[in-house]
Amino acid sequence: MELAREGFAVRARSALFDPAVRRSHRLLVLALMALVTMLVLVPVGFLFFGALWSEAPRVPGGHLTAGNLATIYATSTFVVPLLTTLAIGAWVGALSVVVGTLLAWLVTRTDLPRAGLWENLLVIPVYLSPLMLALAFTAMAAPRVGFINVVWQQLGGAGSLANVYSFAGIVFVLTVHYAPFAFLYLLGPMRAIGADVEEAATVLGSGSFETIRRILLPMLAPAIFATALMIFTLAAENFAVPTLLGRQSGIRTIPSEIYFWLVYEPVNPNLAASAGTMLLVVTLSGIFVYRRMTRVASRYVTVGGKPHSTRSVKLGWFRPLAPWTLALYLLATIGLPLAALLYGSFLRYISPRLSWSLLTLANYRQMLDADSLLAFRNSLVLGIGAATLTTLLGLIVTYTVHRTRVSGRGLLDYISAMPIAIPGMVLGVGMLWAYVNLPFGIWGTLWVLLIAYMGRFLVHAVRVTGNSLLQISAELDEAAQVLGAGMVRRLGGIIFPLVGRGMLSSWILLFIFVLNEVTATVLLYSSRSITLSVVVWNSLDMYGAMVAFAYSIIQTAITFVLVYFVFRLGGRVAW
Amino acid sequence: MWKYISRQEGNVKATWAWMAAPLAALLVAATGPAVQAAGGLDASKQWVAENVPGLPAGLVEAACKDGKLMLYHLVFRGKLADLIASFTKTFPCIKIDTYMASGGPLQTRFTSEWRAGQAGADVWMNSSPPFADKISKEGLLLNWTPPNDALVPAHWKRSGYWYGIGLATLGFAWNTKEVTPAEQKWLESVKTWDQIAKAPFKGRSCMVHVRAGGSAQLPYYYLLTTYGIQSWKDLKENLEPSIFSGAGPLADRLAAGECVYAPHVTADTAVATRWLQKAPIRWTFPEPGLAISYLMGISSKAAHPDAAKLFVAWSLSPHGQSAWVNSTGLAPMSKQATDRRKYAKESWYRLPGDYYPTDWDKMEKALKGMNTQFKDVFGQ
Repeated sequence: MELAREGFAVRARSALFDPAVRRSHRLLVLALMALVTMLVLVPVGFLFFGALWSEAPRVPGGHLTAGNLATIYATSTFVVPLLTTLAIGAWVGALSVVVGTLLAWLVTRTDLPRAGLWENLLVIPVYLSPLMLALAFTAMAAPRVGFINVVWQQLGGAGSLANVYSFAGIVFVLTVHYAPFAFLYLLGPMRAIGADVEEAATVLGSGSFETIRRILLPMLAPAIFATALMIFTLAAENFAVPTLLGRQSGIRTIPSEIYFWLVYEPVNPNLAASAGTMLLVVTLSGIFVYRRMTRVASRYVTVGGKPHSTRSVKLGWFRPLAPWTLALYLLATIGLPLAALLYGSFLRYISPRLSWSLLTLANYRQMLDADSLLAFRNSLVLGIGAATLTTLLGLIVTYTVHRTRVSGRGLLDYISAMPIAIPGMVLGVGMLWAYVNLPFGIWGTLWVLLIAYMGRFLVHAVRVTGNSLLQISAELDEAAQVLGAGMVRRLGGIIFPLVGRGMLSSWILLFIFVLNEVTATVLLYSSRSITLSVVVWNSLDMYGAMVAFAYSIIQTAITFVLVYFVFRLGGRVAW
Repeated sequence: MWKYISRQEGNVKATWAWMAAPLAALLVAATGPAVQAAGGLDASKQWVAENVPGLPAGLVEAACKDGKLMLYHLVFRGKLADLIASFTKTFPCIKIDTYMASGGPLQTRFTSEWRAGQAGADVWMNSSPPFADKISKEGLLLNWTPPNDALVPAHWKRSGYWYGIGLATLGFAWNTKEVTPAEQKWLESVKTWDQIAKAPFKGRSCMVHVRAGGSAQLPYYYLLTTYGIQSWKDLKENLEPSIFSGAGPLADRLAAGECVYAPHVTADTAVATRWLQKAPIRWTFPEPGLAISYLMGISSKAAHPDAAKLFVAWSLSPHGQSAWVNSTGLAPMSKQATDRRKYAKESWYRLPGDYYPTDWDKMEKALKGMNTQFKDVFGQ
């Protein structure tokens, strides 16, 4: 049997070196390179051009200059904002991965009661944008007048119990938002690990903790590292939370500096473009480390040619307590903020006082106009369309990177990862400069937004599907190749179903990202392609936070229903 | 193997088939412009003859041939529906389409489109006179003088290029529920800007960062050039203010009572919005009045130039100025506008008598130094 397997592997490997196979792989890489270049490299290229040019693209009289980069990199002005940005990213990345890994382990590998229900509930904090979470936590933990502090004072406490306007407040709000991302990222890889390795460890005398430390975590290392890197950059490039919560306590980050250069007059997009390159170096270094880690991909394979079962660790005395612990976690991270948003959505204006006279339905009435209804429709169409196409593209990219040997495939990995390191607002400027000349009347339509979202979020699809693909043995693919299956057949018949759950995770993440994306959208939308996120963003300026709260509640409800529906179709819900 | 795989395949296929369906909708949703309405040409011509007499006779017809207008405008309270309805009631042959954003994105979007040869905006709005001057010199704004140019005071226009349509006026604001009667009395006694730093609200005040746009820069610039850096230090020492990234978040927190007093903020826009929502807020404009104008100009590459000209001429007419003021909440920039804003009827509401003649270019050039000084004084 073993001999037969080895012989099969040899034939399969030789198939990889078959000139016809190599030619088809080369063509695939070329096609992908062209697509990813259009989606990612062109806008990023415009940004680099902007960073090195004295004026915006196409302005007469512009010339090459190092002035913008010198302002950012060669002065001490941005040292503190950069260090603060990196510190926020590092703290949020580390905390989110710890929380996400723990939650994913509880849901997938233990005898937690009603694990299916918890799996759905634990991702809810993702549905709210960081901006809305920041506003909700402001309502709860603003000094003196936040609900928590009002209750604290009424109980006889002195001063303020909580202060959201602090470094800890920023890290807390971002971790609440990003920990469920880590959870979603790690669900697939955690679930894919078969029981055999753990059982072997148990037979050899390892305890549960030892098995987790020496078996589970090392096998998950690439997925955990990729997740931490992803969340680090997402948190570091976030502008809404540090800008909203940090200004009062003098906390400056690179994205909050960029916000001022792009939103308020006099604008300086060239300087913003220069600052936008700061996180690229860090992220690309991280991708380099990740690629080194996954060079020997077979080390992390957990799905082979044989079906496997997932081991269920007995929680013992903690089993009845586990649901209560999770419920408390959810109450703090989403229950209270959602309650604050819901209550706020019925208020005329923000107030710590409870009074019937403050309540109104006017915030919800704003949503019934034609613009809002069009925005709902556009957001749904874009969310579903972009999530579907980007996940498919992400799978093909990740397959090419990990399963072919064509030179240049590594470049695909780096290029697709670039947008995550560039703050959305700056990337939006790059996209505006790049796409404003698109042919066939595409500019100003939904297509521009679709292209922008695919470029901006491709990296997530690549990483999430990559996490799942790495755990599937190449032998399945190779076996099909030996039996004459072409690439499309292999993708559709083997890879697609086996990484299906990873793809669903990717789809859900992308759908939520697209629904909440505003910083690039605000520069690219038109009256016909207006999205819900733009309506919410503008309503903050037009009416204050209350109407935005109402929109967020509806958006959360829609997301919840849709994600539940997708989970059901994917066969993941087991309530 | 195939059997093993196909066990999971059914669900996944169904899911992806379902997800692919909206792509078809995307194709449909991204299709062409709306159909044009027409009619009432004689009434439109008559209105022009009576209200903007110098306008060329053929402009209304040409504008109706354009049939539509793309207006790039700033973010206002409300959706300009009343304003657009007012215009299209007079000129039903023109459909107005809009793109809304704050000042910075409006500048970036408009200039990028113009330079790329895209017919984006016909009429472009902003609140930065130096930027409008800069792009006028570069040729981005059409050189055209409407016959009713004289209805706009000189300080709020650059004749032939851009025209103000209303003012974002700065005042000091407070939360009426959080102040004592003595504090209220003090607030009502303040008449000039040199008094604002003497307020009895140490640790309970809030201000907007100097970098948060023209309306944030103006009071700092005025204080600095009129009373010197000590006026900033007084604000810091006497008030110990919280600093906000924009007038919107500040107004929300003022309404909530998190801070009680804002020594300078765009009152008729951000603060008044919360007042209309019945928040316990009030404001006063010290003398001289500090304001920035919301301005508009016509793109020199406008796809609908005649409709744009007609819209600008209409906006400068007394009827148009009133429509802008009453639908956006901005203060009137001339006596031509009839002010029907709800808060303007309150007994405590009084617009400034005179406005400070800001040198916008000087103010913009001073910004870099002001940023450094702001950091030194306020630590941010």
